[in-house]
Amino acid sequence: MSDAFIFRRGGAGGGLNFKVVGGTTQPANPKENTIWVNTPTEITGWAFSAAEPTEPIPGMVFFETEGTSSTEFNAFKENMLSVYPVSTSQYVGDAWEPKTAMIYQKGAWAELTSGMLYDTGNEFTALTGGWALATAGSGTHGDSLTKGTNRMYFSTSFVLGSHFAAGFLRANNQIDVTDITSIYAELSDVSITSDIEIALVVTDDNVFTPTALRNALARADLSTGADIVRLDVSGITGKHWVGFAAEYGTVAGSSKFYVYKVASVRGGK
Amino acid sequence: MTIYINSDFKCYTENADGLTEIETDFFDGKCRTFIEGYRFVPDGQTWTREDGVVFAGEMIAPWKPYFELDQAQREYEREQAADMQAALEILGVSVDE
Repeated sequence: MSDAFIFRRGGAGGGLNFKVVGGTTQPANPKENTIWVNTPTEITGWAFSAAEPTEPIPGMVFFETEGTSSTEFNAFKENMLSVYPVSTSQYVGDAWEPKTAMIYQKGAWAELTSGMLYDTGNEFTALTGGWALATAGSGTHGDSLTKGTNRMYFSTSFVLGSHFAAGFLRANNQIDVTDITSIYAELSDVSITSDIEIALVVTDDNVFTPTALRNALARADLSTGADIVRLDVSGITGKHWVGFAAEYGTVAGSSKFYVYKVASVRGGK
Repeated sequence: MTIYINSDFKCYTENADGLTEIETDFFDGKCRTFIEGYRFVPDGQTWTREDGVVFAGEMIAPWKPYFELDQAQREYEREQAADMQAALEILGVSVDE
């Protein structure tokens, strides 16, 4: 459960189990639960809440909270108040600006994130680097990507003697799946022709050729009409490419689908 | 290749009572240790993880730590390469030819 509380900078006094700092240089010797907001604008106060403060002061930082977060922390030293931050913004000028924030926990920095990788038009670029088709590889490929306001459209086609239907739609940044137990995607209008295979994958091959799928560490195949695909990644750690990889077929035709959400789910491993 | 899965969809390289035969090319070239660290959920079936999350097939994912499986596979490939090199030497074939 998330809670809302607002403190002005320095106004909270002792008893807090975290500290919020600003600046454009990551702190060199952070303590546990130091939250660094990457911003050149002085932080004048901060709030943890499910909704934006209605009367912000310039420089205030807003940490959006939800029911779960990969960077949960206890706000108090003695009592218990779990906080689940998922995103950060700062009131600059007269508007909220998205900011990147990281928290120092258990000897490492982790980005404050909800675990979403794509959500109805939001590509969570700070984490994913955006979504795009892989371009490395030899040969002519027939995949295409169209980004709408609330979804992505992926299609791939095989034309005998022209191009093959392989392709790889993935986050531009490798995703660290160490603390992730599953990845799922919400889809629509999935249409897979005869012998083409398309799967949600975790792979180390960032190429449009079929090896992105053939060499996947894990894969969950899409099927015509399916609207959810879910992949177990509880046995995988480290950074890998995450996305949708297609294996070319031998029968002329095309396959396609819309993607509305791609999310990572965290848990114990 | 042919593999076998048990009721928990864990993979085996040899048949035994209670196992189901599966044809897949996902494990082509992979060693036994690698294969038997994976779970294969066939199309049309579902597997429920111990935390209650349900996964629909076809899904292929490691249930053992992947880095261990990867290490085993790399060792297997090194052994294969060494065996091939030894065979070439017996035949008097040089790689420089």
